Amino acid sequence: MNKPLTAEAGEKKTELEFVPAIAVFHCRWCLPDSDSVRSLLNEEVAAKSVVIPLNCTARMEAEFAIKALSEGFDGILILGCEIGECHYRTGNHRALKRLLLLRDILALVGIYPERLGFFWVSPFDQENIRLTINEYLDKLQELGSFK
Amino acid sequence: MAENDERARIEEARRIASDLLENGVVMGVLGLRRVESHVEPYLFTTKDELRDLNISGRYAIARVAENLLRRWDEGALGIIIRGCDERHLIELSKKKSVDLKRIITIGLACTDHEAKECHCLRPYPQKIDVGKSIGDVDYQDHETLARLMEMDISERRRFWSDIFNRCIKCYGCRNSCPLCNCEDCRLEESRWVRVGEIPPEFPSFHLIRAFHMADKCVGCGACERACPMGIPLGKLHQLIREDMKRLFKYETGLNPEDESPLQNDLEKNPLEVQLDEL
Ligand code: SF4
Ligand code: SF4
Repeated sequence: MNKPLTAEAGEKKTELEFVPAIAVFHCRWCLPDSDSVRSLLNEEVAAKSVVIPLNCTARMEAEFAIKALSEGFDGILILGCEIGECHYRTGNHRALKRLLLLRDILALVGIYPERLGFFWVSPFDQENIRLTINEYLDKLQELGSFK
Repeated sequence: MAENDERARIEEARRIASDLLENGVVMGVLGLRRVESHVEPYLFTTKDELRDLNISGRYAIARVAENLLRRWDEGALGIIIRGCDERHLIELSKKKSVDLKRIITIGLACTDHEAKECHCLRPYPQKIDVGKSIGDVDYQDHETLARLMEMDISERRRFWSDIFNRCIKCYGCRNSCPLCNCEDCRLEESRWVRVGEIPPEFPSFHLIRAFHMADKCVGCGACERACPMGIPLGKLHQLIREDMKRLFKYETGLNPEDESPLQNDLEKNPLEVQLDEL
């Protein structure tokens, strides 16, 4: 899955620069459209990634993330509504707890917990979402491939 | 001396059990008896049978109690338990599959040596009838647990992926656990774990189970003892229990009224950690 990408003509990228593949799960209340979520990723990452809408981050089960790692994704990014803004009132509370715990469990077995990124975002601040995602991707780049 | 202690402990257990039987308050006393080189669960119904009682073996006996109570329409069960067995029973009662009112326990405090063997952090039941509690144990006092925590993240990755790679997917870990008993198990679904492949892909199989057990596991170590490949699952679970305490101040198996923090919102169970790192 993580074969080095060959640099395209005209680009100055070195051949071996690592491009992470990520699985993105987003709440469809704050971010209704998967295509626009995908457009927040840089092109190379987007090409290797999947973007999956959830009705609420509460739907995000630990298995989704664990399986994504097993299948060769380098990171899992979860985007949901800010605490207090959940359409179902407290769906994201549950997601938050579950994801915090999962992060700890990943770290226990030696998986960088930063691979699991979860961010509560406001749909009215797309710029902030873009920045958040970029920071997350920079971190993944630093960590390198999961496998 | 140690042998005398052991003798005193078993005599005390026998005495309490036979009192229960004699007074007719229980249909029987569930405990362990030695058969050749192993122990098995046994329902003692007469004083004489208590000759074969064994209190040094390890056996996750709560599931047997659960089955017995289900089979009897009424009546109470006596049961000789360690701290972990008591926690199993409490967790089973949270799931409404054991009625604690029908159980009379004979609580056994584990010895220092036993607690070490199990890497136990709470080697005593709440009601102790036999032996003396050594109190809570810090995870750092168990050498292996401390060592696992001292490893840096890449050492851990190497350690756990190597050791999980030994797995032959016998499902012994799942089957031995009284609390790992969903009717439909994700570990058997091809969507989550590839069927017919060993070792299972890292980290699917083991982390799915670890996560599912995080708010139920009582740290009894039965999964680890069941594993034919020597995978230290019990130690992993002890460390996850520490995480549950740190994140949510939650510990399983203490009070039947407690609810898992994962089932509740932040108002009901606030976090114990600061979120500014998010
Ligand atoms: S230690 Fe293992 S067998 Fe015991 S309760 Fe936890 S998961 Fe189940
Ligand atoms: S008991 Fe051990 S070998 Fe069997 S499935 Fe569990 S971890 Fe794998």
